[in-house]
Amino acid sequence: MMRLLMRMLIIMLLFLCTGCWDMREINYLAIVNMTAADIDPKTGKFIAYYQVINPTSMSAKQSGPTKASVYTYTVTEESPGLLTEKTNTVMSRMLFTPHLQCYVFTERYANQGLRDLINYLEQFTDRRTNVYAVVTDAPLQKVMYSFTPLDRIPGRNIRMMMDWQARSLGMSRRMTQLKDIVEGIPLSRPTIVPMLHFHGDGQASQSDRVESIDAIEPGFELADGAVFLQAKMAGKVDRDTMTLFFVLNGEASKSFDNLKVNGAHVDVEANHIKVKRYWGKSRLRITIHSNLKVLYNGQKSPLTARNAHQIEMAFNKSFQKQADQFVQLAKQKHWDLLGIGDTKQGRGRWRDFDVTFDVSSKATVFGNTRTPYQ
Amino acid sequence: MNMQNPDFADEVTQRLGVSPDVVCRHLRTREGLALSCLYLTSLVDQRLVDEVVIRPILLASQQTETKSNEFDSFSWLQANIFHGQVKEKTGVDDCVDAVLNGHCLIIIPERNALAMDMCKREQRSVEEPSTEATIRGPREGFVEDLIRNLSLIRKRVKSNKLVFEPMVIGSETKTMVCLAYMRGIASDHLVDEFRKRLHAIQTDSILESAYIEEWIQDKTITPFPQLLTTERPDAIAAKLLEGQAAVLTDGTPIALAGPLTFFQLFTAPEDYYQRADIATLLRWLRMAAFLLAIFVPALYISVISYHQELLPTPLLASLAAQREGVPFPAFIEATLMMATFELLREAGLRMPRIAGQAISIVGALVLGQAAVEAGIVSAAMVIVVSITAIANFVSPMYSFGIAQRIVQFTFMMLAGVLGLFGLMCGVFFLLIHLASLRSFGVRYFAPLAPLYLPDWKDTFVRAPRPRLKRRPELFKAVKVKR
Amino acid sequence: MEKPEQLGGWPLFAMTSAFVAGTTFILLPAGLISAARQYGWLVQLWSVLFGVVAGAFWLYVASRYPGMSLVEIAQQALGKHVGGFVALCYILFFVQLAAWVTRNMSDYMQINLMPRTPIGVFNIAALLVCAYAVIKGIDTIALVSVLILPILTLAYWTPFTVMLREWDWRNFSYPGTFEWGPTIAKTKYALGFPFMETVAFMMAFPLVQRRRGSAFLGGIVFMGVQLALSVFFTIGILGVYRGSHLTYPIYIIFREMQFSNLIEHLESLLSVTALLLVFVKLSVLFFFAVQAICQLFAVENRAVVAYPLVWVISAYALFFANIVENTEWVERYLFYYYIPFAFGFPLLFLISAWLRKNKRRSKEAAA
Repeated sequence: MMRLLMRMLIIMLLFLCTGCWDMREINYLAIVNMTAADIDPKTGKFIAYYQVINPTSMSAKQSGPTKASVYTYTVTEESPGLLTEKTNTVMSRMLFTPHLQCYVFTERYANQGLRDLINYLEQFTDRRTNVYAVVTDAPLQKVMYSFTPLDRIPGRNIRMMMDWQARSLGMSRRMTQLKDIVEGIPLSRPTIVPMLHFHGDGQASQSDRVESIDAIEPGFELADGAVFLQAKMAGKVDRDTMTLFFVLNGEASKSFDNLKVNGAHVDVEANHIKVKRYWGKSRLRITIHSNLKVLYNGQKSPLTARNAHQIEMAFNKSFQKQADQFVQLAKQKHWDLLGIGDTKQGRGRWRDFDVTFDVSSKATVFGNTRTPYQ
Repeated sequence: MNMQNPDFADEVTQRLGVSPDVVCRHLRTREGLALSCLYLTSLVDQRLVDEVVIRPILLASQQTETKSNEFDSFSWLQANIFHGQVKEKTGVDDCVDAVLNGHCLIIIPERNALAMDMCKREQRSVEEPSTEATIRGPREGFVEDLIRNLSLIRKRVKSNKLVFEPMVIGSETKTMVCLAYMRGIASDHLVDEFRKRLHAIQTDSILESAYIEEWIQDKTITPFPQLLTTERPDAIAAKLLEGQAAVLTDGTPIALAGPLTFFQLFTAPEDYYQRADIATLLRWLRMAAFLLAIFVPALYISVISYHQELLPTPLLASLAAQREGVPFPAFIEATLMMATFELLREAGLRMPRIAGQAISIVGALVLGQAAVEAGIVSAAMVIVVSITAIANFVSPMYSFGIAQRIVQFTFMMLAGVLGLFGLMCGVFFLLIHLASLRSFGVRYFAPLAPLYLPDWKDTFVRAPRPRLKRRPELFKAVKVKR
Repeated sequence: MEKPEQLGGWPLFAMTSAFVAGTTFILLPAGLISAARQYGWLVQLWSVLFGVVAGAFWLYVASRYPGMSLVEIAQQALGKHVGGFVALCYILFFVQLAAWVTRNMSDYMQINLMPRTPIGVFNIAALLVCAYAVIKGIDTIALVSVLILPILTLAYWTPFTVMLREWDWRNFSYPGTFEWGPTIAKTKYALGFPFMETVAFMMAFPLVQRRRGSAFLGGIVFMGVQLALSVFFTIGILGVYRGSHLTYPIYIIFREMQFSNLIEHLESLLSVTALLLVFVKLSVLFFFAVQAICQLFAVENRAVVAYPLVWVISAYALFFANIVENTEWVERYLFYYYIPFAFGFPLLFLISAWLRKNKRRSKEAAA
């Protein structure tokens, strides 16, 4: 009996030897770093760009084509589900997406709505949605066919840029990931996604690009924001509004401002911003408290407590004004930028709320000069 | 029993076989009494025999003047031979055994034979144990001679509680084996179990303690050692004082001690000679090394071939670049490298020291640079193999290192077939296997499962001596307080 | 085979915890969140309460039959033939549960980690390992669960803690009203899965002498509350909207956890580690099935039963064509299906015990 069992066991183990179904050798992978999606306005077909890392360019021991850090593949299909299969026709390696750093969408595609794409991405776990997303107003060819200096992989470049911006805004979470758009679908508050601009006429598609000293042109710029409602792009806001959006919703704790005090320019950084909301009936009072760090002081007079107070007052006033404009903008565009509609108090009637701001600040850091040189 | 002198001596000689080392000297006293002195020159100290036996008999035979009918040869000999232990032997078998054990036999006609232990203790001197070197601590190691080994333990534990129970095992080799324990400290149950298992051994030969180990361990089909093997008398003394039992075997410097639990495999005798905090850190290091040794190659394979998403992007790209020209799948590559390493190790083990150097040079070249430069293996693989190899040698017990290798190869195979899932199946299998093992009734995973919290202070940490006032609860020692 | 040792309280506690966690933590949150929205964790807490009451009931039934396992109780209470039939039902029940656990595990593996590997391979590999555990006995399984419970609890909660920065209280003010009645009716399977499955432990009760009740109920509460907490965290981190759309929300939490920029994707490691819990649950069920067969048909060698049973279970695990069928079945019929096993038969045993006691008493009175 035992011998029979042993034989059965061996047969079962042999059965395992036919295994390795999911084996994929690391050097047979096309490691996708950045993906872009667009829609062909004429045919309505879905166009996907895959930017694939060229591993040999990354290693210390260089062999093979080493200068180009990435290659971009383009695939066109009727619907997103068939894209992966279609890549076989142009790629010699297996599409490997878990290392995606960034999604890029064109404005026209974002205007149409990302819901189809999101459903496609969330369905299988080798695709990911906790990846940065940006919307670009430039033609996609330019963006996807450009090498970037310093961080030679464009996807990583954009990602690091966004991480760095988020850090300088004191954000505790990532700036915008695709899943934020997903989570924003049922909410009344829109999601704001950074926009990618492109400088320069032609694309920088030759790897010689990285030998040029001019890092700006041709190149990317990450500024401004695209507003998404129900996974559909509804409009654009400028960079300051986007910052304010993060600050007033309690997601960022820093902002920057250029003030006029006694007729001179004073630049400040507001940090440790604390935002609190007090609800009344159809009234919302938001208190904002922050510490100020003076980054530049153009005043010719020595610093005094009184002067510091003037700076604080100027900041309060300026911030209040910006905040009021922010609310105006929201009402005018019909965007619930403060997320009032997502709360118990304001569900379904966010427009009826009268929002007031109460700004207070304390100047804490002045740097190394007490009295400016005359 | 009536023994006709020459016949009896002849019979014993016949039984011993006619080998060149059998010496039978016939002496005759003045009374006409014929004595035979029988011994093996290969075992007996010739000078001692001359001095203690032959000389007094010859001298006495010239001096004494007694009537032959009153002469009692036995008491006469008792009085005239200068030897501490004179044993009386009757029967041919007894006599043969005595001669084979290095005794000198004096055969008295019509009486019995007298046996005196005159074994020449030709042995190497006590040296530093070569397999268990130490920085701080005694430099003495066991030798091949059992009596000498007993003295090494006695020197350390001068207690009347220390018991050595002799027994002879092996129908042909008649090897002397000693069961050592502390009476009143070791639990009776444990000692009885040891005694029972030792008595149950039915074999013709015991040439090394490994023969005994295989007979008395709880389970044979497992790579893990269930008895501690050591060359160090201080380690054995410490184990005895914890309430364990030890088995010493004549003819080998390796002693056995038990019960052994899994976590004891990470303790070295040196732990107790160093500061407690350092010893604790070293124990953690050894545990980490164990985990590294069994998991690193398997994890590498499963990450490289199945779960590339686990790697950070830059590392992934660089690994992909390294493997760009490598023709083998990661599993084959790893097996190839590990097998090469095992070959080198096995070759180096028994090499003369001079040739050993050549091996290490070739090994360094083959395993390292050349293989990578030829594009046969990736550089990362070389790192993985080296980490594993180094981690493998950390274990204080050599046999545990071998067990690690078996586990490591099994895990590699599982990872190669089913990735992390296969590896996890292997881990569960290993856990079940280890948890089901026992060493002399003690669970292998104690004191973690089952839980003996007080024992943790000498398992996962090494508490300072003043805090180690109680013996481990594991071994159910009779007297718990130290 | 050596007789299984007596189990201590602590091993029983760990084993019960591992059993309750089993496949529950990968399957349950999605269903609960989509049915009860942000109150899913409350539903889970209510299920724990139910689990404790049910557990106490089984303990009481078992205490009427000291030293007897479920199969022996059935035969003692209902006679050789009827009792034997009930015992057979329980054996089928255990085999079925084991098959479901296996299937859930392999579905999870296939969808999330290894899409191209056939499900049968996962089934057989896991069952073979568990068969080895079964042969080694329940005491070994219990020791292993003692060993892995603390490690896995840590491994399980680390991602949640790291993901706290994604926490959003807005997720708890998801629109809609909450009514207890319909919600509980809709989520009644949460009572059955996993709490009514713990009836299987009646096979192990005779092995535990000390602290049986507190260890068993403690295990249920300990893991049940953790499950409720994990539902709570899932809502806070992923949100009701996303949580209710995903099949394995917990896996997504694992996946989106980023320790730093260096270690971004630990999901496969974490979810595979969590498989150890599933293995424990599977081994326990498997062991009970094998043990019940051994007791009912007086078989000495567990290996003779265990290895063939591997094939039965792995074949049975392929019964559902896909996860959708499985989920639908669970949501509709699971609760009703479990009721006879969890309450029907034990109640019969209890009544039989009472009757017998009365008879004995009246006999004593007559004498």
